[in-house]
Amino acid sequence: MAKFATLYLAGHSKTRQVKATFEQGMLSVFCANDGEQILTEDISLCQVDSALGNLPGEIKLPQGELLVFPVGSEVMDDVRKSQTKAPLYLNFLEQNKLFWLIALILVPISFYGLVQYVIPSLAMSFAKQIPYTIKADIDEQVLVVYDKAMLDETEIGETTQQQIQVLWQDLLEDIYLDKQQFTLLFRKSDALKANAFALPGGTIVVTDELVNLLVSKPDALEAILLHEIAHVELNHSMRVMAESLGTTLLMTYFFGDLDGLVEVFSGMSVTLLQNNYSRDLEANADAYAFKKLKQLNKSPLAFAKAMTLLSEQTKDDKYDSLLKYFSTHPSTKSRIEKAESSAH
Amino acid sequence: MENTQEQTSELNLAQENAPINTHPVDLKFHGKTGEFFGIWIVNILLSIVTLGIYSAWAKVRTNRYFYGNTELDQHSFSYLATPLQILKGRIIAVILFGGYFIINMISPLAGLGVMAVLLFASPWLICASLRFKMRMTSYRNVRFNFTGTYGDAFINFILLPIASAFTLYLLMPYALKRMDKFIVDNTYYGDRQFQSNLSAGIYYKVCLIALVMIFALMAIIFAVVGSAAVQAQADPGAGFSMMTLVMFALYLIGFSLIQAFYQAHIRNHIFAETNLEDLATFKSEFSFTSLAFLQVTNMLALLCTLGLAYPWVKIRLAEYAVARTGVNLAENKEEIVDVAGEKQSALSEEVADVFDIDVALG
Repeated sequence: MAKFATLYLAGHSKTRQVKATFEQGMLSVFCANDGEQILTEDISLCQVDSALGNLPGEIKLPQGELLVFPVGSEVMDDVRKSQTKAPLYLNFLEQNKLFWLIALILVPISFYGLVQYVIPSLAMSFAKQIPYTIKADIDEQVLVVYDKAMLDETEIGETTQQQIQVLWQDLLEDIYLDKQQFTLLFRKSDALKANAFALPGGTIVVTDELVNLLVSKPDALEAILLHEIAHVELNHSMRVMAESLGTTLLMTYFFGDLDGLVEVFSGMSVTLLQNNYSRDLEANADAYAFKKLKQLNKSPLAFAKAMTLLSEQTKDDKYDSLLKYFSTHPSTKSRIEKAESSAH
Repeated sequence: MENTQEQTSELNLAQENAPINTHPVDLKFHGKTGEFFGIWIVNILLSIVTLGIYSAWAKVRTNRYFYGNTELDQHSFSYLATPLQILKGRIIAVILFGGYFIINMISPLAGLGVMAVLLFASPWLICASLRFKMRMTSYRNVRFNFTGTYGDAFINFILLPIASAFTLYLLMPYALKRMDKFIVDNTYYGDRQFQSNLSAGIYYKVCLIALVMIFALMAIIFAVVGSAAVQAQADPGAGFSMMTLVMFALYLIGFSLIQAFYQAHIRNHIFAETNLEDLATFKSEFSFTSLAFLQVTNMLALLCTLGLAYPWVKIRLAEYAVARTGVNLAENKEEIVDVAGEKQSALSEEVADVFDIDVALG
């Protein structure tokens, strides 16, 4: 059985019309015109390409010649069948419309599993590996940058500061945390307004605006501090880092070969995914705060009070709209509702 | 397959500009959306369940599909990289990128140092990644090659853009021209070199019009924001939400128009002014309106199908590019000698990919 094929000479653009046969592992090539044998090779020394779509079959010969078979060549089929079977199964799956349907169902499910369970749990085990000294080091370095970029020295009076530090120390003692590992700092910030944030090593920063807003409501202030403590205790910073690394790599490798504008979508998906993780972590931190408040015989309503005051201050929109996917925090409304339901 | 009779190309090629005796040959793309959909969906599924390992096989299969379905003068292109080559490069690239990412988050100051290292490494990455891409492309069993050097890449991709930042970007079109010329003139097919004769004047003209378009887009966005702000006073929540979406849509459409304008004109210019030493001349007939229409409809299709239209989008783009590209070949096309030599590592290309150091013509 012989079929026409094209032989490309080694290292040269010259071509010849040939016939080829494949018998007992030996590939033989003959001149298409006079039938003279050009070469014969052991197929195990050749590089046979795997079947893909409707592409012509290519065999790279050991001396560098390339043999190209037209689509549907029986010789090429025989050669491929003599190779490992995996590529044939793959090609079968790629051409099987029933499998397309199955894949269409499996892709979202497995993607959801990957994003919802695999990446967060990998991120969590990564976060646990980071020793405390490194995290404390991060606090120091990040604070230097933040102080330069968006924080100013506090204008809160000494007495108020001391009053809040006492509340802070009592709080740490009440929930049995190591006082050495947590530090509360005051900073003024026009950029952040009334806000608080936690660094991975246990440094928690509250802005002057937040202090002024909550100084007369110690329960609400405690609720906010507990939320920030949760970020430290639950290793959230390190998790965020690992999760954003994971999602960046995910998008690079699954959708990375998109050109130009389409990249905007993959960039947007990374943001959406990361915001999704961030909202999960915020909700976790809220839940931690509710639990601790209850342990201290205080009501989670303190948290609701703090959120209400904050949203009035910042004129935060309480609407649950499409925009929630672009947000790093759950909506204020849902956080207040959770606090209320947790109180009952 | 010997091709003796003259082919009539879909494009009416300007023969008189050709310095060598060439004739137009057929350039065809045989890829089918349905067929590629099957390959793509299996790629995605296996990539997810193998936590990304299969993505190396996916990359090779996708590239083989597009190269192999592109046929010039009755011979197909081939993509030569093997999945294991890609996988090895990819693993090292991920480790390097992970390290960079973590250093950047842990210590912003050390991150700056790494960025400086990356700045100096990027010319090398650009050259090595172009070299890999070219050497993995073959036509008629003869490989392409890229011979650009670190020094030239450093001047064109680092020094000139920095210098242009100090000249109110007046130098930028010239820098863009130099980058494209660097890529084209250092590319070989076998023992033949591509040669271009690009005009800085065209780059200045195209950039100037693109700049006017950017200003127009900004004016429109400001106008929309302004009118939305008035409405927002009545209904803060809904107003803000709508405004963000409208702005995002405007930005996407405006940006794709500007990109289409630049790409169409610059690609046409590069193809018209490039020839392959004693072997081929080229022509590109991209048009701003058709390319912009293609990009915007592609975007809408992706958005409306949650990405499922991806295979259709990729095939459409390839069909568009092939249909609007013309190639004239000389009779001596059988005399090309492959000189690319030894095997290549995929490391640099993978590192360049993951750090998003991407260079493309136009």
